[in-house]
Amino acid sequence: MDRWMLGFSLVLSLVLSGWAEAGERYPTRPIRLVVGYTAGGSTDLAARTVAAHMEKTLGQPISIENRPGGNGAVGTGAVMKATPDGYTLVMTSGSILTVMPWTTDLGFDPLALSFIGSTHESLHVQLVRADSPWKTIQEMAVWAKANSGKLVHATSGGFGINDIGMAQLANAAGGFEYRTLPTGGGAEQILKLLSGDAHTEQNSAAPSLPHIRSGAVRPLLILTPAWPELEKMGVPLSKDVYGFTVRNLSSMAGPPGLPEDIRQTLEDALRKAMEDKTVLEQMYRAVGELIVYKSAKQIREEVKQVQAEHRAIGEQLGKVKK
Amino acid sequence: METLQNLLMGFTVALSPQNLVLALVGSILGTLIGVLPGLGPSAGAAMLIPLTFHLGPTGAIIMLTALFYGTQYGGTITSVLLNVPGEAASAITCLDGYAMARQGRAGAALSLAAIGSFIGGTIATMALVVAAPPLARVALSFGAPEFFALMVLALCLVVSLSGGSVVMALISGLVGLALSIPGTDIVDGTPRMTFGANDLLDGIGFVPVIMGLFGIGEILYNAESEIRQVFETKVTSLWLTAKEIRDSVWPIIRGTAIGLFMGLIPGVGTIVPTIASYAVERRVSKHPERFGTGAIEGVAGPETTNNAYANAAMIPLFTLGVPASPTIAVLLGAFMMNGLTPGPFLFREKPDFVWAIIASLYIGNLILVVLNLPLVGLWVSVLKIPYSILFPLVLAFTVVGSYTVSHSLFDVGVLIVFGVLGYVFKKLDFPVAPIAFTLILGPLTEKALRQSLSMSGGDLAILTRGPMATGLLLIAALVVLVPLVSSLRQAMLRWRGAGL
Repeated sequence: MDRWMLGFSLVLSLVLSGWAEAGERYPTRPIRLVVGYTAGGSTDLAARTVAAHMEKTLGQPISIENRPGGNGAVGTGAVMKATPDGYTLVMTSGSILTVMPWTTDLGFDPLALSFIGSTHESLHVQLVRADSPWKTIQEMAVWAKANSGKLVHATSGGFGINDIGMAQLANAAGGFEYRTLPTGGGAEQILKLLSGDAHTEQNSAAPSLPHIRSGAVRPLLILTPAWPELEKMGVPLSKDVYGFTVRNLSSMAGPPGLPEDIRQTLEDALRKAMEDKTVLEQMYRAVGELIVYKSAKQIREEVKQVQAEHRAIGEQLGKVKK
Repeated sequence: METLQNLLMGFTVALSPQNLVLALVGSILGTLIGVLPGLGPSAGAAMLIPLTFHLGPTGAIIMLTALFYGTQYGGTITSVLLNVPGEAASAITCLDGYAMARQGRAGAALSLAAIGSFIGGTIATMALVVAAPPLARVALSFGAPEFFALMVLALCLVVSLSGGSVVMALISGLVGLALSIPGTDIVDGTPRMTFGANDLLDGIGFVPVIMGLFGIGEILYNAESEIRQVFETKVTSLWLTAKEIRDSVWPIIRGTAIGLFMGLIPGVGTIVPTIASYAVERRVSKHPERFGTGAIEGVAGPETTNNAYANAAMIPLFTLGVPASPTIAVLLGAFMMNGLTPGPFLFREKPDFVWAIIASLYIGNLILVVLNLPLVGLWVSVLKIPYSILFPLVLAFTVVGSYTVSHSLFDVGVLIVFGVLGYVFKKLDFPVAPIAFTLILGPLTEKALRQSLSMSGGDLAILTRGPMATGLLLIAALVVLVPLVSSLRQAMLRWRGAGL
């Protein structure tokens, strides 16, 4: 009898707790948002800004966990293996989505992520030093063609968006050879330009803007689809001059196989955050990039398309892994 | 005169009660972050950035710079007391600072570090006031070939750092270089010796390696012998003796000069100046054999250097807008976020802000010394905790610390492996410092070499392109050749003596 009672109450409690689980809507506990980059960078700041707003919508705290390494490969890889229950998410950006999948044996395919939506797109600009003889991008291209293989361009190191962008430019400007000077990141890139080690470089907003504003470097070409501040200065857009753009997309995602209702809840919360005026203002101040919200479907399509474009350039450069 | 007036104006802003409190809070937080193993200055500063949104630009930057100095000193505390360097800057202080602690002179080492830091930091800040624009030009004259020459010099110095056998030091240095090979190729982006592990794409982390080699290795070594007294129980005076003060004067002066110069060269990092200072002190000392066994010059020099470096590194930031280190890069981010654009224009457009920051650099240095000197006694009393309680605690903190840097269990594994290696090396009397230093210098050297070669299209002649590069390479050659020649001559003399 006692045993029956025990069994009965066990079954009852299981059923009840199941109901309770099903009855309570996601999320019922804190969410972890993994950022694959160091704290303080643009992706990290974007994550922190939107997360602060999403917390209010979702009613659960979101903690940011920085897991830097391999241009985002370590953090993204960790989330790929996480349980798809909506309590572990990731902020991804640039190379890990569109370049590394075909240069490196990552052991996973970032396209399998359950995308939630995009927050921003990195700005890129072609720079030369202020005392450079080249006043326009065309003048630089003419020199590069006449002095084949002499043009030194600084990259942020490794093989990434800068290498793709430079190859795109060289192709579009009629083909020229150049040398690649790798650095440890955007700030060192600027330094290499100022010290005269490199002739030109493609750099993102945070490291470039102080020097563009102070007049130490000259922007020749906006490489991203838009950049209002530089457009006002009269800097031409690459899509107008040459018909190409450099794309570096950032988005929030969950592990593969995230249940659709949970994914939708998160997408709604992200969209709401990205429609908030104060969030946008903070994002603009903190991140300084092109702040654009894109739905999960849209961003997934774009990542796929940009990855294919980048891969085609990689093939031309012989960088696609066997 | 105008400069002085500006500076005084800056002091009135920086000395406002709110800013003073912020500097104090920054120093305390920084010291705590520095004491916690693993959590370095840039991570600490980055964590505070969101907080500074509400402070306004001047307050925010004052707090962040104070935090930056605080971490420098906090790292020293654990290096001296426990042989656990919390970050790169204080690694070298383990060599003699910890040896001093074991002789009951921890208080003296910590006091000296605080004073040296204050002097180095204050003089470097003065340089920022008086001569920032011409000094900044040094930063730009340092191209990749010059940087490569400096790295070669640093590598040569590493071998001559440890007192024991040169061969052992060479082997240890080469082990460190070999360990710096895994990672991502800087030009091609190809993974190199990562064996498919994404955790290795950025190479082996430096922080877990030094905490393992120095800290865990030491703990295991001490734990081996049954309850043994590791430290002199009778901690002699916390203050310095007259002789110790006399011995420290020149190391502090030289340390300031080295830190000031290196701070102007972006990308050097804190490790190269501290190595240089230690090597110089050892070379000019009449008793180089005392280094590594508690030589006060081995603490005074590098500790002064790293603060002079930290302050001088602000010069390229203020004048050119070029961040010299990852921590300074975080500061740059804070400038931008608060709507300020560092660079020459900042002096013209926002003089009140710039001078307030400069004044607060002085105040930050002063607060640090005022805050820390009275606390030295408290820190030293940590050593009175029984060995059987203290070391498990340190072990736990070190493991947690290595995890928190990047939330990575892989780093904890690295810590443990290098802890065991550190223990084995200590048993074999094998110097571990060169491993740690070449692990950092290896990638910097490789990058500078490949940058130089990509500038020249593969022509090696670029490495001696100017007086700076050539000069540094010649000094490097002397560093290696002079001891070699002198030991050869001694061998010759002995041989002749035997022949007679």
